[in-house]
Amino acid sequence: MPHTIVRRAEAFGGDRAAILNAHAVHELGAGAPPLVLLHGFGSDQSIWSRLAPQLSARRRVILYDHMGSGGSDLGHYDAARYTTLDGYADDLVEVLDALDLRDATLVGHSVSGMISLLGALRTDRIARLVMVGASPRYLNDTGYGGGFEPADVADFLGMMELDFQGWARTLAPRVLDHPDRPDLAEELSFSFCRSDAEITRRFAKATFLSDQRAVLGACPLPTLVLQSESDAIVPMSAARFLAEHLPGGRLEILATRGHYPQLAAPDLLAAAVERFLAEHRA
Amino acid sequence: MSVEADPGLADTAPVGLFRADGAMTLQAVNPRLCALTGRTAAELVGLGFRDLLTRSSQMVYALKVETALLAENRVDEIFLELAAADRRSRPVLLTIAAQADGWAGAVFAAPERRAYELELIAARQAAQEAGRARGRFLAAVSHELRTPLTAILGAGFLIEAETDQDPVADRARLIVAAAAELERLVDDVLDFTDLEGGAGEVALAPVDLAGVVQAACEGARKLAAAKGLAFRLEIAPDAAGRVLADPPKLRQIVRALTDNAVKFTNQGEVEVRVGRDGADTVLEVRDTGPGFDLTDAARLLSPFERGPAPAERGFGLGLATVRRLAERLGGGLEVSAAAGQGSRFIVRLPLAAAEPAAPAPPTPQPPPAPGPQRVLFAEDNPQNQWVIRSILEMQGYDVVIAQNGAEALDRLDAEPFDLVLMDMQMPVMDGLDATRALRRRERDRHAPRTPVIMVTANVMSEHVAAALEAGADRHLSKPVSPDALAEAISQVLETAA
Repeated sequence: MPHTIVRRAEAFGGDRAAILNAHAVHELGAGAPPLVLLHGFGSDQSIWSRLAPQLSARRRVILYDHMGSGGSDLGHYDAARYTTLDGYADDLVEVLDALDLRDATLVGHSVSGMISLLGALRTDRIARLVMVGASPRYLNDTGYGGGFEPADVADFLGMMELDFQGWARTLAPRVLDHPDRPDLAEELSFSFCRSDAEITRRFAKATFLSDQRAVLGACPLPTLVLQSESDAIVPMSAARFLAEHLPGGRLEILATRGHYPQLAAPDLLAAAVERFLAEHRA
Repeated sequence: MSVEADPGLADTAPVGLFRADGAMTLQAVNPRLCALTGRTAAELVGLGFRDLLTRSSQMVYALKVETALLAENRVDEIFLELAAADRRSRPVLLTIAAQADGWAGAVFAAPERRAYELELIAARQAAQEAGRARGRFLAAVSHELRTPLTAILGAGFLIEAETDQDPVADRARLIVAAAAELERLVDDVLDFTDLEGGAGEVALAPVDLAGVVQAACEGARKLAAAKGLAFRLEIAPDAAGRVLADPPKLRQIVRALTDNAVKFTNQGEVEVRVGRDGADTVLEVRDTGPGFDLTDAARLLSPFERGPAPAERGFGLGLATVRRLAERLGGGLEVSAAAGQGSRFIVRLPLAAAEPAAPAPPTPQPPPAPGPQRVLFAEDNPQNQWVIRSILEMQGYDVVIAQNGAEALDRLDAEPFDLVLMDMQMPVMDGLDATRALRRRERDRHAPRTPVIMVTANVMSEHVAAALEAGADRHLSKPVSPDALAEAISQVLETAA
């Protein structure tokens, strides 16, 4: 008779350095209130390398990798914990606790918009949210345009599995064009090859099958919802729904295309974040 | 002088070609792309490339192609599916590179690609499943073998202890020796399955190296004495301290090498030396046995290969297991031998020195004897009930038998016991569930904790972990020798006291 052993990732036991290490936490700049940049599905903290230097000119900027992505320590990966977005939100709170951050601004790209929202419902260390290309639900529903049918997502998972090598290879673009900051390039290099197909697939399912519409109303924080003019992952209808159902939400359309404005239009994105921070000082 | 490419040449290329502006809107296409998409050039020009894809491929495109183009200005051979006009998807490989005024792309039909990738996935899954099936089979066989072994070995021990009449005692010793040998073979199979299954994670703990090595040599030393061989163990003073090691793995390495050496040596000696070489701890096992040709060495180190001589016994797992264990611990196994001149096995392990031990606690006393202690033994197999009860009674314990976990919980409700011995697999309620329930009750009632030893034929590392996680204080493998049982009981009772 089989005996399943469930090991919860309780390995840290509040060990601050271990938490920061496991998530490859990096910092730039100085000054309050601190700002945390969270990458989305299929990338890692280096996705911010065109934006982080600008934002860190005026404040402390913290970056880390979600467990299972980038330079995170897979030794702490726990399949049960990361089956839904809640595990990622618990991690966020652990990192904020470990750094003892207060009055933090969370900038979450893609699925990390929802991860930072779930984090904000768990801790009072977060004071403001910026969501970039975020969606509360990717699947269509009655009266809701999420953009995808269940079959689309199933196909997508299948394609990812079919071509995982190619997928992993292309998920490792060197987003490192900062001749002035070679240290950044060194530290933020992608390491997706270490990750495995199972982990990526689980994160994809947690992302594209999630539905956070019901909790939007519970978050009173000032929230900037940034959306590019054309995004294959998040239709405008989902971005509008998000901004309208967040009590402190405001939608701003960025004059750029695609799902990665932090790569395509880092200056536009930085300016929008600066304006939002100026409006909502500590 | 420059030579321009002839645009007409693109018409015959067996690959779809396009030029697009900065926003990836198609500006020019070749006939092959029209054929692949089932659309005319007039229909294609003006469309975004993304619009040619199935919805799921649009996700892939947005998540990886767009990112890569932004970061690196090109992508190479990304697997995507075109949404062809006949509503069937068409697998393709997409390459795009930046041009001065936009993008140039190539779309290569890859109908066999999907089948190929699916085959790879299926083959990988089949191989993994076969490995798991083999592991399950070996674990089940081992469990089935251990249950009767417990009875044979236990009965042998009991007869041996109860009589000094020569012919009977001799026969009992024969039974015990043969059963012990059989147990070792079962262990070899299991060790290997355990390591193959990846359960052989390294768990470092500070240990006294000399103590571990001495204890692990005990079996071989006895066997050597019985065969009239000299057995020498030398531990260099600089290697003798406390080190960070994985004690079970270290024991397995020493046991396997010394057992093998004694088994294959019929006259002369077996010598074990432990020394230090820089950062490495070096364990050397030398014998005066038949040795072997070095061309056989590679074969000996592969699982399921056996030495050349037909007289040799064993499953041939020993050396392969040792090598795997040594590699897991960051070291390696070296072999030097010549046919007819004995063998020498050297294991190098990078064992770091550990903090010196705290001052030794007072020497543990033999189990206190304030009247007979009461032991509850949950076990469904009548033979094992009888054997272990007899061993326990011989050692002065009062024994109550429960047929399964549920009955054990009832008995524990009715009266207190000093100790519970629990089988793992039982009908009605197994040992893990019963132990969990007992721990829950103790917590809820603020009752004192009754020590539990899981005595079981489930002996793989995952079973040990499951037993401890369920709340057992210790895991003890069947078959159980009277000494091992006594040692385990006194250890958990001392810890509990």
